[in-house]
Amino acid sequence: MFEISLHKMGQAVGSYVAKKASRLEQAELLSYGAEILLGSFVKLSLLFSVAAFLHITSEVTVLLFVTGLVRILSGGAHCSAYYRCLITSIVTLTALGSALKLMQPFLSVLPAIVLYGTVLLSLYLYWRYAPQAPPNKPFENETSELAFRRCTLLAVAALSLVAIIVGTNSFMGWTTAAALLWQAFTLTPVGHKFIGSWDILLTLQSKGGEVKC
Amino acid sequence: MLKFITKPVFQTTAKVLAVVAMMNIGTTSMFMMYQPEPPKKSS
Repeated sequence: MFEISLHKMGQAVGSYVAKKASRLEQAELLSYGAEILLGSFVKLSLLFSVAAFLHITSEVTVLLFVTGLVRILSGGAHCSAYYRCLITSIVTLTALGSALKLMQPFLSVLPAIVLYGTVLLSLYLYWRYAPQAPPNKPFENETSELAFRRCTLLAVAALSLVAIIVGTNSFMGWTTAAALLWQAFTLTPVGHKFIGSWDILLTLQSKGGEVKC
Repeated sequence: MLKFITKPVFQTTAKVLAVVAMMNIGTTSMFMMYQPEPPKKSS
């Protein structure tokens, strides 16, 4: 049976490069790097193809930049397999982008206080729940956790300031605020349940893990 | 000639993959909601 697994593809590429570069002792590390690169390439290609088709490339670019940047520092809910993450990410980012584009005429006439409220709510959620390490990569110590917390709050404060300065008239302001709120939502217990339900919904095999995509 | 070029190309690729892998260890994946299993022991 023809099967495609990103994990296996990463392993194959990593092992091949390790052999050719005479770095056999690093095969596992190179496979991990290859898996990340391949996964990112596939995900970005698909995401931007869908975004271009829906004419929401600008919105998705800002959403991805803000959520991605904050997510590196704050962590958040994870899916248990690559293809589930791929579908969940594409669906949520394009749905958010489409909703923002559709609501832009309405959002641009909203008072600035609504934008400030959105930003403040996000700040509270990051203050309350960040940072969160994935189960397979816990924080090494409390100092490292504290550093991630400080960096998260600093990045969120800077991006909030950008949203406020840009204001309600530009798509950038609302898109940045929406991205911050969405990423904050994935840190909450409800956000974990939401991503978890997508994970269950997209489970094709009862054993889970790296399912073929 | 090809053999002469192949080795540095793969060595550079290996360096790039190692940097990507090491940058992601200890952080979370930028491209959202799936975290590949990191190697047990990185050198």
